Amino acid sequence: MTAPLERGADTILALEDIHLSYGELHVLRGVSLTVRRGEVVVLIGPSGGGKSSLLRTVNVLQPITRGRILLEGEEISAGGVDEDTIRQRVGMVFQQYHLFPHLTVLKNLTLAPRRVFREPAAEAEVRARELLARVGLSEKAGHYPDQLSGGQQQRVAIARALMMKPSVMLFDEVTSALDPELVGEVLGVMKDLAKSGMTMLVVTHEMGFARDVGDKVVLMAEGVVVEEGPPSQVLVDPKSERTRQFLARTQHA
Amino acid sequence: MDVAPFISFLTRYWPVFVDGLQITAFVAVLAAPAAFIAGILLVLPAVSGWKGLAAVVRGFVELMRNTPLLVQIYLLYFGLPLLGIFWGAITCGVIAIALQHGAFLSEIVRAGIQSLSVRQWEAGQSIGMRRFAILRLVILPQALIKVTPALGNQLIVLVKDTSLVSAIGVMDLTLTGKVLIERSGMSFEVFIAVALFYLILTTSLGIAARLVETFVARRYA
Ligand SMILES: Nc1ncnc2c1ncn2[C@@H]1O[C@H](COP(=O)(O)OP(=O)(O)O)[C@@H](O)[C@H]1O
Ligand SMILES: [Mg+2]
Repeated sequence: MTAPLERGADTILALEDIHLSYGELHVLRGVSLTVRRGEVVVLIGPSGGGKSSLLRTVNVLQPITRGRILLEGEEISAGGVDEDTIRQRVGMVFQQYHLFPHLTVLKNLTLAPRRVFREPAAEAEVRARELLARVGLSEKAGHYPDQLSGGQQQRVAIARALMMKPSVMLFDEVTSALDPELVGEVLGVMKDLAKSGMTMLVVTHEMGFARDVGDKVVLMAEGVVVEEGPPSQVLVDPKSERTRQFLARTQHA
Repeated sequence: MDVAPFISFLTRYWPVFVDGLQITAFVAVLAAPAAFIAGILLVLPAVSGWKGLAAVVRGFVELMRNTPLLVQIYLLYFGLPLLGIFWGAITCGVIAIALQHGAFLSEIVRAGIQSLSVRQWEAGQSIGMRRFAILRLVILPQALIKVTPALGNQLIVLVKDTSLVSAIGVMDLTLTGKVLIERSGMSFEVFIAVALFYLILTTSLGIAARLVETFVARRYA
């Protein structure tokens, strides 16, 4: 991991003045954000503030109306880019897992690498089993998604995204749909991932995770970045009144 | 109707019925997979976002669904020769059945695809799969699993619809029946027998379809 890098190449993701409208609804109003290699950036903020929309623009699931998105220095928000190749470099995990219900856990993991990279079945399977071991689900390879708990399904979804060897992983409230007792196992996997050096952009309401794992916390509301900084500052001694309000409300919840 | 004379009638003409049954089964065995493939092909433009082709296919599907199969069979069998194309009766029958049932099947499959969450598409996209690969490997299998009961039902309708090829001289079960009436004069017995043979075909298919259905339901509930 210590290969010589070009100057500035340690910026994995740069968002510059991102605007997004759904028809009349102006959801993102000039968001700028940088995620550096190995960094864990935690995105917090009230519901409806545009966090999911922002992640979707990075995964080019949602085209932006203005601004630029650079992935490892390459503009991905311009027309004419190959969206599928970009998505291979950006892993995304959703709140509702979205596993493929008709495939076993193992096939959920190997499907895309085999299709996209033409990876031989045996190799893909070896990597899949390694990743399953990493998320603590070795014995579930032959199971179907509906035979797993929500926490297990979400860990499979993380492993599925990792199969593509992404440069950055996006997490959109991946523990929000889980029973409280299952949240920990998923956060644990994410913590290990962060420790292994993965670059991560994480939307979450888990303030403990933001504090312990985040290198940077960004508060987004009404489509703009209200405040950003190290967790010790943003979460403990916020500069903005808006942040203070939001934190007060989540601590009561 | 006494049972004993009926049984003796049946044994007497058994080989003739079996020949007809074979032709009926043959037509169905050709038409069913062809209809299935047509159904999938007809659904592709709409779900792949090929707008122009989708509109053309839409029109074709409506045309197929809204005209009688018998008329389509006649059209192929009597119409094509006017264009200098001479296809056999079975070929024309199989194609007409495949097209009309393909049209109905494409509607069934389309409904299945639409019942799936767009999040399944996104899940595929988010791991870099191309649209067509997602369709083939993620969406279609799930859609087909969902509509298995409707597919089974359509298959049974298809088998019954093969009787229409008798109208262009294919010696299937139905035409065999007609011919036997002329030969034996026992119209009632003949059609009881013909109905019985169809019933055997469709019921065994129905049972098979139910088995597949329960298997699929148990696996992918
Ligand atoms: N596909 C969409 N079409 C129209 N409006 C949307 C769509 N997705 C999100 N929105 C709206 O955009 C706003 C921001 O939503 P979202 O990005 O989901 O915020 P968050 O993830 O912070 O809760 C909300 O008002 C939401 O209703
Ligand atoms: Mg959201």
